[in-house]
Amino acid sequence: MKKHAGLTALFEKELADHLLGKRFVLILVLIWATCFASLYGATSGMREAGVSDYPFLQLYTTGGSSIPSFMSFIALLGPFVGLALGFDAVNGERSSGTLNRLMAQPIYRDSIIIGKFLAGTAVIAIMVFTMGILIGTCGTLRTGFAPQPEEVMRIFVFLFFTVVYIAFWLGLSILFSVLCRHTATSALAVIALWIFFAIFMSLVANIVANAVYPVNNDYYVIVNSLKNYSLNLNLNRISPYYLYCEAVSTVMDPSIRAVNAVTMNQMVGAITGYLSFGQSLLLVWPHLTGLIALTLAAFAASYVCFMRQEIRSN
Amino acid sequence: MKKASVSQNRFAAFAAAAVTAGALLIAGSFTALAAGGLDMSTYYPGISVKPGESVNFSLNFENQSGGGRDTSLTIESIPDGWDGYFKGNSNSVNRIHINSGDNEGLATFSLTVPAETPSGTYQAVLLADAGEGVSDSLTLDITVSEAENGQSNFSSEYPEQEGASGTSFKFDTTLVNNRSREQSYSLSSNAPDGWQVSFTPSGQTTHVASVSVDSGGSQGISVEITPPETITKGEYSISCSAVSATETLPLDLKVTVTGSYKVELSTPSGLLSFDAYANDEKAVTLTVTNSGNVDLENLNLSSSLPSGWEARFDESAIDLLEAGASREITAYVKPSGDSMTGDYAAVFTVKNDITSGTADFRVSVKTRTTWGILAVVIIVVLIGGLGMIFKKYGRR
Repeated sequence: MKKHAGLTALFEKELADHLLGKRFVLILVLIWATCFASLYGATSGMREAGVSDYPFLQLYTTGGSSIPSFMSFIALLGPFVGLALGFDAVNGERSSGTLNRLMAQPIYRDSIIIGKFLAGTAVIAIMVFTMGILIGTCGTLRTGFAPQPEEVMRIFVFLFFTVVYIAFWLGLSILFSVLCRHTATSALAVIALWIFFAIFMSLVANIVANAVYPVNNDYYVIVNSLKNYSLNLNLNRISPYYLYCEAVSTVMDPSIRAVNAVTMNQMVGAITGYLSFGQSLLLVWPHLTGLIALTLAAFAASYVCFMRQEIRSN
Repeated sequence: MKKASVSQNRFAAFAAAAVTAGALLIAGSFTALAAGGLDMSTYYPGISVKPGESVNFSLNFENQSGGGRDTSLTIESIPDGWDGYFKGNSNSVNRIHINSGDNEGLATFSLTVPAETPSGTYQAVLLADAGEGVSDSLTLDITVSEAENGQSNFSSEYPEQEGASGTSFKFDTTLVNNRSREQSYSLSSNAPDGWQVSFTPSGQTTHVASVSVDSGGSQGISVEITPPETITKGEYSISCSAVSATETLPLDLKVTVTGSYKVELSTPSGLLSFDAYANDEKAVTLTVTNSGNVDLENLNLSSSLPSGWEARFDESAIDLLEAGASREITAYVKPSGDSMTGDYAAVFTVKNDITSGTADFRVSVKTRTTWGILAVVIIVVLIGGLGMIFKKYGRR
């Protein structure tokens, strides 16, 4: 038998299932709505706040009229796309009995899970890049700003980060669909994690940082401020949500020069200016590495679990 | 009274005239010795000249003899070595035809005074002889003096000026023509190479090489002297002169160039920015240029940098930097370990007790690409790890 026999067939089948399914249409409508809402917010925000030296990037990073920017929309709703595509990947097939039938085919068992993950990632990539380019073109038509080559590169890096970020949530939801018997359980588990990382992680980080380095009187403020802030930051960075936000806002804003706490000492003699594309990328390489590592870890875990699972038992 | 003395004794009158000279003498010579109705005269029979000059006497004739006459003109007497001749219609003449009545300016007597003639009063006697006893003589009094009365001049109220190098000096001068004719003066100077001297008539904007001044008139001329940029401190004398056909008028102008102390700091290419890496020494070549006109001593280099940065120079002091000279110095800048990516301002200063120069640099602190390569390596290792997992747990 060929290596990874049936992987291509499985990949194509999964991709077709995703693209033709009702669920996909639902996600698409949701994403399109946020897409155009954020574009509207960006253009009105740019009209109010004015235009920077990188107007094209502002289409993605500016919010307005109480509508968040495209970037923050994606950071919040991206996980939803990932979990919607993967929360019932394995246990859904198991409960409907199709998994046994699939295993009866002359294919390797690992082709199934690899195929599911790759198909999901492909759908995410298609969706994210389509959306990003759509925002760019609509934004150009609406504002008249043509993108500079550097802006285009920054946007593609942003979209790549987004794909990795959503793929992490896909991997995580596939892991839970392997671990949990019921689709509802796995969906709830991922949603719980999503809400925890997006909302509660910053609170937890704050509480822990304040407990370790208190800043509740003047002396502590002087002594502990920097340590408190750094600990808070590092705890937040455990959250993929925060990691993604920090990375893309650095990539999409050339005037950001540092991702860590900046002391007054470091500010002495600094001149306001823009970083080159390469330098911005070098600032966020740990974020990219971290996100990819998380994604691969989530997928590897689901792979190992799936391979060790007894399938024919029910 | 004068009339009475003439009538009394003619000889006495002449003696008196010789003693008093002046107007009486001229009056005496102007009185033509009329004989038979021919009178030769000139309006200005007494004249002052400088040695070496020539004078022209326009001769008038009055013929009362009752008909035109051919008359021969001769020089009766002339001081030794002097040269004189009659001119008529651009030619040298010795006979002329005098019509009856007044003939004004019919001929000209041209007289050249030799250059070495001592001062004094000289006489020349001319004779016009029409024959038949009709003749007349004319005595000319020529006073030769070293300093001619009508000396023109070329002067400036403030012939000495002071200023820093790089500035131009403007002198307002006046050229006065005291001669009896309009004269054209050509203007020149003996300025050394690199100096620029220009003459501009007042009220004009064009530079001129010569001006024409009416008799008795004056012309304001502005003389602009521009020393070369690299001139050293000192006093310079520039002789200008206005030269006409008959005179040379010198004018000495003095320009005092004061010392200017200026030192500039830059780089050989003029580029005032460079890239550096955190905690890593970067060599920057600086050029110290003495752009003043005085040698500078004991120049010191210093730097003003963001906090935590360090800089050293391969030569932090220059003992002597000649005027116009420049020196290259290498500075080694080390950004602090915790500097942010992006631009910082770094200021280098060179100074001594008198003057100083600064250069503001924009230093771009960069992150090494090595970190990016490390990231790629880590990602490759992670993917390799996944492959290991595939190998270990797959295909059961």
